[in-house]
Order: sequence, then structure tokens, then C-alpha cells
Amino acid sequence: MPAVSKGDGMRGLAVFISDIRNCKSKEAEIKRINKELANIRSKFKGDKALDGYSKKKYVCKLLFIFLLGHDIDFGHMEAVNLLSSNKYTEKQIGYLFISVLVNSTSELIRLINNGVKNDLTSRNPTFMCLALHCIANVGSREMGEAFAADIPRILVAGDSMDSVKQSAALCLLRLYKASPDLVPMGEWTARVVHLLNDQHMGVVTAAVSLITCLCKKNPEDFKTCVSLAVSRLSRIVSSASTDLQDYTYYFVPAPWLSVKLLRLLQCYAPPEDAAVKGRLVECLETVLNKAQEPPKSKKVQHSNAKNAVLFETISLIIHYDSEPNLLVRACNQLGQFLQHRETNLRYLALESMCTLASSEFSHEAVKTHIDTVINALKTERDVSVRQRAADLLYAMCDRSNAKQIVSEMLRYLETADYAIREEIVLKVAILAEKYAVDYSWYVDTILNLIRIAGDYVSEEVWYRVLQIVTNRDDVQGYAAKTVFEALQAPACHENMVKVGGYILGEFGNLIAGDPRSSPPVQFSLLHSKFHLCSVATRALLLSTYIKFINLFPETKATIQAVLRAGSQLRNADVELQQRAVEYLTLSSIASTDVLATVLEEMPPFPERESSILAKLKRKKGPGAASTLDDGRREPGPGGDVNGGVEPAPSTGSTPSPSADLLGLRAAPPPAAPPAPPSAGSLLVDVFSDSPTGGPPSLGPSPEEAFLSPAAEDPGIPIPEADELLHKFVCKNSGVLFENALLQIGVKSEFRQNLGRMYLFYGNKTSVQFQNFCPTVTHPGDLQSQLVVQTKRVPGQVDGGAQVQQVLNIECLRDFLTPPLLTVRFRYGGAPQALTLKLPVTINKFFQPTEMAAQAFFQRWKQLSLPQQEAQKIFQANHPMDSEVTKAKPCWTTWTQTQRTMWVLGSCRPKPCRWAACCGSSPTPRPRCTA
Amino acid sequence: MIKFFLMVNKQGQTRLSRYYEHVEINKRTLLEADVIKTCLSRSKEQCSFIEYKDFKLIYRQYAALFIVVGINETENEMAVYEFIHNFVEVLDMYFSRVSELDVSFSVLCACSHSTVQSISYDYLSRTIIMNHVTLGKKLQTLWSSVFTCVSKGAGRLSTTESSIIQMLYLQN
Repeated sequence: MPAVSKGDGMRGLAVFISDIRNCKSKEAEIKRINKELANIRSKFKGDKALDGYSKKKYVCKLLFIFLLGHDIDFGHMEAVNLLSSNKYTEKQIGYLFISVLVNSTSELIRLINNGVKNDLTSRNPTFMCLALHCIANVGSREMGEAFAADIPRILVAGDSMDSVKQSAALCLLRLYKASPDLVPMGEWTARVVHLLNDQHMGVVTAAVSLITCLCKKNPEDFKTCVSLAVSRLSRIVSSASTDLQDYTYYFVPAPWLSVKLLRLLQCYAPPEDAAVKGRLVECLETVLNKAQEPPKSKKVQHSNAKNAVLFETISLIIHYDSEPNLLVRACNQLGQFLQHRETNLRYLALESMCTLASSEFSHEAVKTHIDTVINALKTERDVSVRQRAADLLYAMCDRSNAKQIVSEMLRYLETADYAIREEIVLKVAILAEKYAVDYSWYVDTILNLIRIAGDYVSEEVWYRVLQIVTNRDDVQGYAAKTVFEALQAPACHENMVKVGGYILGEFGNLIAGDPRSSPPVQFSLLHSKFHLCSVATRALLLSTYIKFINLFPETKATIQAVLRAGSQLRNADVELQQRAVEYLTLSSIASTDVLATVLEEMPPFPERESSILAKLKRKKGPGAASTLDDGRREPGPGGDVNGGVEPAPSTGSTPSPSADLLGLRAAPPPAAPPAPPSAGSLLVDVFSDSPTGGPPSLGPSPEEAFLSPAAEDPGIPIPEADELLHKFVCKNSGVLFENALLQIGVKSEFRQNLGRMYLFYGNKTSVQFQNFCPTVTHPGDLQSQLVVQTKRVPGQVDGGAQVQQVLNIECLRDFLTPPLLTVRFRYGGAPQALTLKLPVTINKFFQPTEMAAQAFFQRWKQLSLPQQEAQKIFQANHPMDSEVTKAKPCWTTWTQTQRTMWVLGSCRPKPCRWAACCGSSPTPRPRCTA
Repeated sequence: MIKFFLMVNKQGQTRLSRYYEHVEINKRTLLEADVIKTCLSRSKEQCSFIEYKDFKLIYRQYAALFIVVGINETENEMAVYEFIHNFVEVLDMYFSRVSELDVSFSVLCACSHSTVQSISYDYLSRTIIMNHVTLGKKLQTLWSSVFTCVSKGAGRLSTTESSIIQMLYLQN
């Protein structure tokens, strides 16, 4: 370090500063400053060249004025001139001024860079350090661009002084953080790693910081640092407390460097080399052992430094998560801290233990501290420590201690700080759900939660309890009874009213047998809360009332009176008014059957990730949630079955205008049906140019002929699929399929190019189907021709139950193959799969058009080109079904693609002899007729 | 990683601030005010680590002066906590008594010199700071006077603090 000469004091500066200090008012100060500025300006502008000392003095004054809060718009040039001085103090003032005042004005930057460059190459360590600090302090991109390549060279040069290396490492770190792209990686990286072996601890410390930052991006380049860091760490840990002299802090050898080395090791997986690993484990054990030794000093600084290293060691052990022995020792050590009198230690111990709890090796060990943690939750004075305790309880919770933990958390909730109540509520709700063995306990817990902290129970929580009660019929009666009792409290939270309203509306009948909770009592209980509730709750209650009318016809008169009351029918709120009016009308005009259908019990909710868990994740951010959602997660009470059906991919592609009519001429369907006994490929033949062999026969209807077998994906349709399908060519409802297990009914309606189909899956057995999953697939080109949107169905189908699935169908273009329906489920553990053809055929989208025979023939005759016309006459296999053809000549227009398809029933006096079908396209393209 | 290093007195005046992450100037003022408010509201028996937004504050109080360090999750709380003390201790070695003003000065001084980055990103061992803090007691008086003076013009102090003291440092 440069000796600072005492005789170099700037008297003028000191006088100026004391003048300013003696100013009585702001005005006087400004006056003095302006006088000084004028003086400096004249000196700088004067003819006489200033010597280094004066320049330094005036630049100092300017700097001081700037720091007082005044703008400085000159003096930059003089400051830059100071850089070229050979005197340390002058140079330093120059750098100082630049670091504070110069922004990247182009002209000056060039000059400054010159000065910096000169100093960097000066081989004078002091000047080099100054230049490096200037680069680091300014840290601008321009400087980075100019010097980023030089600094690594200085850093690894053999002849650089320790202080220069140290500064270079930190300067490089600064540049890398500011603009990583500027720092070139290269052969120096390998040599930087070797700085970990440097004699000078300061260099090692700076190098560790740099490597820790660099290795995050290129872990492979710096992999060798692991063994070097281990050996350095080992030397520090095993050194006697006085070995490192200046680097020993209260008898702890180099605590900060140890922490940094341990932190660096956490960037990598455990070392593979057995020797290195052995040495590291030894180090970690030594640190743990030292924690048990009596302290070498009573000073708190000694124990703080020691504990800093200890905590970092424990983080490394947790990071490796592979040494059961060390993990358990770490846990015991933290257990001691849990009762330490230092709040800081208790806080850190709880925090570290929270991560330990998620390791399979130490989970059990963490659980032994449950009483201490519960005690901390009750007695800690610091809210952040209590919060850590709550986090830890959440992390250590499993089936064995869930009841205890949940009840303790509920108790804590009564007195908890407002800031963390919502989080505790979520955690209790999740734990209660995750580890519920019996659902009455779960319901009790959640209702308690609402009672204790109703304001903090978010929608997710009470939605969830409703979902679970709806899905589990064994708990419905109990839930109804419990909410009924809870609602009897004179003051209950609005969330309780919501849950109560919903549950009684659905399952109130289950407790109606008891005279104490007879329907009128239930109703009057709910209605007593009605006026105190918000609009949303009142709307929910109105729905409950209409459900009551269905459940308990005897309450109808009372409820209708309530609905009819002016306060409802003319309520200012539109939603309430509408509900009142609609429900009133519904209850007056609908028959009991209709009411029973409309107001049927809610179907089970599809199982998906708990919405509460999602909320907690959102709240805490991804990092915090990871400890919550660890590998120990067990299936939720409803089973973790995600039985929903992904909606079929909908294709928005528009039909290509150049597509050939029906796609037949260009490319007949690749897989011609070998032999469906009926006229399976009839029309294919008719439309193609090749002559057909065999006597043409008239199928049950011509449309059927469009059906060609589908591409065999994802499952081969069952052999009778075609046959089953044919039944539906002209029929829109019926039983599509039936076997010993399953019956699939279908009901459909079509209008223009749109259709809606209801599929009813009936479980004919008494056993629940698991993983029930019907999917619709589009073989071949069908994707672009037909859109089928499916609604989700529940993942389970109970024995004897029937589920309904709605399909929305849109025809975009003509198509040949029907979509496939694949039904997969597990029956008694055995997977079942079934593929059927969905009864959606092109004719469903036909619309008949009335046309007189003459008009038809007129059109017919207009077809002049030979290839526009093809005619087949064949014998009808079956008598012509008048239902099919409407017994009249008709046009069938198919509007969507603006092509026209005409189907003729009979045009001749003798009906049922032949049928004609012709298509035309708006494009000048051959027409096909048949 | 250390995000910032603050010295704030009980009145909420920032004596020193260094940021190691880009924070807009007007946001700094808000942040500093909020941080000191948070620290002041805590009692002695509460722990010295505060979860603040998405990072943590580590603070220590020396008489009327708070030293607050903002860190992210990659930093060891206890190490930073003890680093603050180490820092103050080093300063104390050079001054008979460390008052708020002295501390501000000396830190500035240390910052101003070569270890600006070092303190900041990476608390180095105390020797480094010691090497650079080569001030003599004699100058204390002068510094105090200068500091008082500077603190009157409070505006720029927090952003450019290091410089003024470096200047003073050179005076001896």
C-alpha cells in the first residue's frame, strides 16, 4: 500500500470546507459555493498551466461541491489529466472524480480508457489496482468492452502481485455480473481454478467468489475446482486456531472463506473420486465434531462464526442428500439449536430442519423434535420464528402425526398473527385433506378452520371441502349433520353459511329424519342467516332453497313465499332478482319429475390437483412449494386418479378449396375394405373410374357406402364395429354397443354442419370402473374434416351407474371415415379397452331439398361433359325405406363446403327401383353423378 | 449474493448505501425508508433476519445506527451477520470510539479504496479492509466537521458517499 504522506494535506480544501460549515444559512452556503466555482473556473481557464497539486485541489473542491448536491459541468478534463500523473494521490483523485461524475460521454471515455490502459500495463501494482478499481466501479459496458479481454490475463499472469490478482478477480466478477457476454472464456479458466491453491488467502477468497459465479454457467469448465476446494477446505478446517493469523476470527480459522468454499461445493454433485469424497466427508465430520467441543472463547463472535460454518456445512450435507449418517447428525445438531437462547440460531435451525425433513434419510429424525417445534410455535416471541416453526411442522407432517400437528396448528391459528393466518389456513386444509383417514375428521377440521379463521379461509378451501363431500358419499350424512350444528351458533362466519347452504341443499335429506333437523327447521335456520349475507352468498342460498323444494316438497309453500317476496323479486341486484324469478317460476310450473331432473344431486367433481395446493404454491413461489410437494406425497383422499379426458384436439383448418370432390378421384381410400358383406365400398367403386365387378347392389341407403374402414389407430375397432355403425346410418339414437360389462347408448342431433351427440356409458356390473377414459380419435385425414369436442367424464363409474358424455361435432369438409371412440377403463384391476366407430357419417350433415322431377332432370341434362356423369343402375337389396328417402325426389344440399349433393329417392313412377345421387362443386371441376 | 449494504440511523437518514444490483435512484429512497421502518419496528428478542419481499434483510444495531444488508438465498445469514460485526470492529480498531459519524466515515473510506467491490460483493477477510483503512486518529476531528457539513446537503450523500471520504482520506 502506498504510504500516505502526512504533509500532503490540501489547506485550501480544508479552509473551504470549514467556510461552508460555518455558513449560517442555505443562501450563504450557495453564495460561498458560487464564489468558489467562479474561482476554480478562472484557474482552469487561466493562461498559467496548473501544477498537479493545484489541479488535484480544485478537482477535490468540485467533487465536494457535487457531493453537497450541486451540479458540476466542468473539470472533467482536468480530472482526466490527473490520471496521467505519476503521483498516487493525484492519480487517485482523478479516478475518484471519474468514478463519481463521468458518464459515458464519448470523447472523454476514450481518454479515460487510455489512462486506464496505461495504468494496467504500467507494472506498478498500485496503479494497476487503481485502474482495476476504476473499471469495477464504473462497470459500464464501454469499459467492459475495452478491458474484458485484458483482465483475465492479469489475473492469471505468474508475475502479478497478490493485491493485483485479488483486484483483478473482483473486477472480473463485477464485469461478468454486469454483462456476462463480454467476458471471454478461454484457457485462463483452467488457471483461475488453480488460484484456489494460492498462498494468499485474500486471493483465494476473491477467486472462490469469481469461480462460484462463473461455474453456474459452465459447470463443466470448472469441474476441477471441486477437488481443489476440498483440499483447501480440509487445510482450513484442520488448521490450529492460530495458524492463519490475520484470517483467524475469534479462534475460528477463515470462517468466511470456509463458507464460500462450502457454497462453491454446492454447485456440484458429490465428488466421484473416492479419495476426494473421503476427505470431504472427513471435513464435514470435523465441523460437526467441533460444534460439540467446548467453545474456545466465550465471545459471541466466536460462536457466531463457528455456527456460520456449521450451517453452511449442513446445507452441503442436505444438498448431497446421500450420507444418512451425516444427515442424522446434522439433524441432531439442529435439534440442539432449537432450544438455544439465541433467537437467530433457533430461526436458522428451524429453517434448515425444514429442508432436512424432506430427505428420506432424516425425515424420521426430524420427527423426533415435534414437541420442541410445537412448543416453539406456542412460545416464540418473534413472528418470523413462529412462521418457520409452522413451516417445519408442515414439512414433517405425515400420516402418523397428522392429527397432532393439525390440532396444534388449529390451536395456534386462534392467536396467530394476521400476516400469516391465511397461509396457516391453507396448510391446515392441505394436511387435513392429504392425511385424512376418516372423512368426518376432515370435515370437522375444515369447519373448525372456518369457525376460527373464517376471514382467512379463501374460496379454494371451502370449494375443496364441497368437492370432497360431494365425491364421497360416506361422509355426506355426517357433513350435513355437522354443518347443521355449526350453523346453530348465534354468529357464524359467512363462509360457514356458504358451506352449510350448499351441503344442506345437496344432502339435507340425509338428516331430515331427525325431528330436530326436519326440513322446516333446516330452512328456517338457513334463512335466519340470509339477510346478513353478501349478494354472492344470498344467491347461493336461493339455489339451496329451490333444491329444498325438490328434496322436501313440504317446504314448497314456505319457500315460494320467500321467493315471491318483493325483496327478492324486485331485488336491485340483477343476479338475485333473476334467480328469484326463475326459481319461482320453475317451482310453480314444473312437474315433480322435471324438478327432480333439473335439481338432481350434483355429479361428482372430476379429481384434479388440489386447488388449495395450487394456491399455496402461487403464494409461496415455486421454491417454497418444492419442499411441500415432495416425494412423500400420498394420494389424496379422493384417490389421485385423474380421470378427466383431454379434449380432443380441435383443428381449425379450413377446407382446402382445391380438394377434390369427396377426395375420391384423386386418391381412393388406401385400404379398400376387403369384404364388409354389404355394399361397403360400393360408392367408392361407383365414383372411381375403374369399372366395378360384380352386380351392383343397392344398400340400405346410399350414404352407407361412404363408410370405409378407418385407419387402425389407436385401437383396432372391434369386428362388429361396422355392423354396429350401420345401424345408426339412418338412426340417431339407440344402443351403440353392449357387452357383459358395459353398455354404450347414443343420442344425437344434427343441424346443418353441426351436431351434438350424447353418449351414455352404463356400468352393468356392481364394481366400480377405475380410470374410465373415453377418447375420440380421428383416423387419417379426418382431423381436418371433422371437429369433435368432448366433455370430460369422471374417472370412475360406479357399479350400476351411468355417466353421460357430450360431444360437439362440427363438419368442416366431406369425410369418409367415421371417428373412432376408444373406451379404456380398469375393471377389477384388469385394463379394458374397446374401440368403436362413432356413428357420425356424412349423411348426418345432409339437408334435404325438395325438387320436382322435372327440375331435377333439367339439371341432370345440363351435365354435358362425359366425365361429369357416371351412372350405375343396380338392384336394391332391400325395399326402399321411405324413412330414408322421404319417398320423394329430393335435393340434399350440403351447405358447409358449398358443394351440392343431391340424393334422389325415386324419380320414376315406379318407386324404390333406383336411387340417384349427384354432386356438384362450384369449382369448374367434373361433377359426379350416380 | 449481497444486494445492498445500508447504514441508516434511527431518524431514517441514510448514512451510506451501496447497491450491487441495479436499483433506480427514486426507488432506492423508498426502499431505504421502508427497510429502516421494518428494522425499527423490531424488538431486541426478535431475530436479526427479516424476510423482506423476495429476499432477506440481515441487520445489526450499533447505538443509533443500523447496518442492514440485503441478501438473496445464496448467502449464509450467519456469515453476513458476523461480517457486519467484523466490519464495525475493524473500524473500531482505528477509532477510539465508534460513533455513528465515525462509522459512516470509515466505512466510506474503506469503500472508497480498493475494496469497494470486495466489501460489497464479497466480504473479504478483515485484513483486507485493515490494509486499506490506514487512517489516523488525528484526522477524526476534521472528518467529523466535514461530515456534518456534508450531511446538511443530504441529497446526494447516499449515492456518492464513498467519494467524499476518499477525498478526505487523501488529505492526510
